[in-house]
Amino acid sequence: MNKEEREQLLNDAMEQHGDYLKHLIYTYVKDIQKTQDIIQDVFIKFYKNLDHFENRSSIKTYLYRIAVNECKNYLRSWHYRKMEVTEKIFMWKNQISIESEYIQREEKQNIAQLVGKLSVRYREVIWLYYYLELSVTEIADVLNCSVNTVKTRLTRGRKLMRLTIEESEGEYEY
Amino acid sequence: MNIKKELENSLPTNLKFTEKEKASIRYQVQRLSYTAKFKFKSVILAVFFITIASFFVLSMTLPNLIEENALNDRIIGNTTHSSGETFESFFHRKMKEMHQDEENFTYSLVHTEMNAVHKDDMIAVFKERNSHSEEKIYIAYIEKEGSQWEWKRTRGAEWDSPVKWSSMDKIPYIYSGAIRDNSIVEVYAGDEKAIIIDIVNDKRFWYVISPVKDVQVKMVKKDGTEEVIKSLNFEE
Repeated sequence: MNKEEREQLLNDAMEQHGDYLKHLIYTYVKDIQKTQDIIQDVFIKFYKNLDHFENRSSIKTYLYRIAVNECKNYLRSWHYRKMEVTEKIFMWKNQISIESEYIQREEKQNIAQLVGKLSVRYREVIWLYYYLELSVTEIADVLNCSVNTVKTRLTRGRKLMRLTIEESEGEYEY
Repeated sequence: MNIKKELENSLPTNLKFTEKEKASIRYQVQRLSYTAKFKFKSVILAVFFITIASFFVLSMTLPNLIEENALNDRIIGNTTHSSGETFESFFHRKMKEMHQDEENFTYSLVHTEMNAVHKDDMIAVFKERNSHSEEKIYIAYIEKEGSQWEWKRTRGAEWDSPVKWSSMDKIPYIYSGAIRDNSIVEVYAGDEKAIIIDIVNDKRFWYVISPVKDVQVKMVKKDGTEEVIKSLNFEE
């Protein structure tokens, strides 16, 4: 693959998947600045590894996989953990803010907030399935796990966010 | 219930992947290609300079190293050859042959110098003591011809002889002699400085390999004085 072809693929990927990728990254890191940093890394990594792209998956799932891995690396990083602790200390010092936020949350609690309360393993499958509209097979490819694992996590995720009623009605099938 | 819509609404409104971000990625990719090219060129240049430097260092050190090894070989008398008889076994065999009928004859090899004049030759200095307990010291020039050693020439000296040196009459002209005077510090045959070997107590033996026939031999003493000495034509 020559340089022009690689650049064309990169441009196409940015046009077609840029927005959704950015949304996906944000669901992990919850920080706009960090989202911008990570999406750059994702596309640069994608460009660098184009020679290793074997077309076993689509470019879309390939990009999502890179993004998910980058996000998880960031969440595991010392920098993120330090930030998280600092944030908790800040929140503890500002007890009133926490209380007001809690009240606000209770008032406006919707599905997104319920999803946000889930742990990463359930949250990510919900976003990939409902928002990015990937199939279970594609999610398994992105998360590098089995189809059954994805199904289990989806079911548990739904139960945890009290969506079991809607699911039993067959609204979201896979 | 539209879960997708609800999830989308929960995202910040300014989360669009902007043209500015795309341009930034394109710029970084361009830089990446440039850096890769630059790195490749740098590696090539580094390899080139390291090769040149290695050649330079080798050309400076290798001749010295070879010379040093050759000198070591000469001084320690590294006499083993890949084929044929070793010098030592040749020497001892020859000595036994030459003196097989003599009683109470003893000898000892005191010094060897390999590749003295050219490759595969040998200078051997050895002492002999006969049945009358007279000790003589000899220098022999031995060459290897093919895989066989050939004993070419020998010159000898006595410790108490008034005339202290002799020379070989064919190339290589090897001048040699015995000295028992501790005040002598250097010996010269023409312009060539002699190798002086300590034998025992005050007994020393010197020799010089010279390209010139019939040169003057002088001895330099501790006080700086020089003494020209006569030859002894004593050939075994």
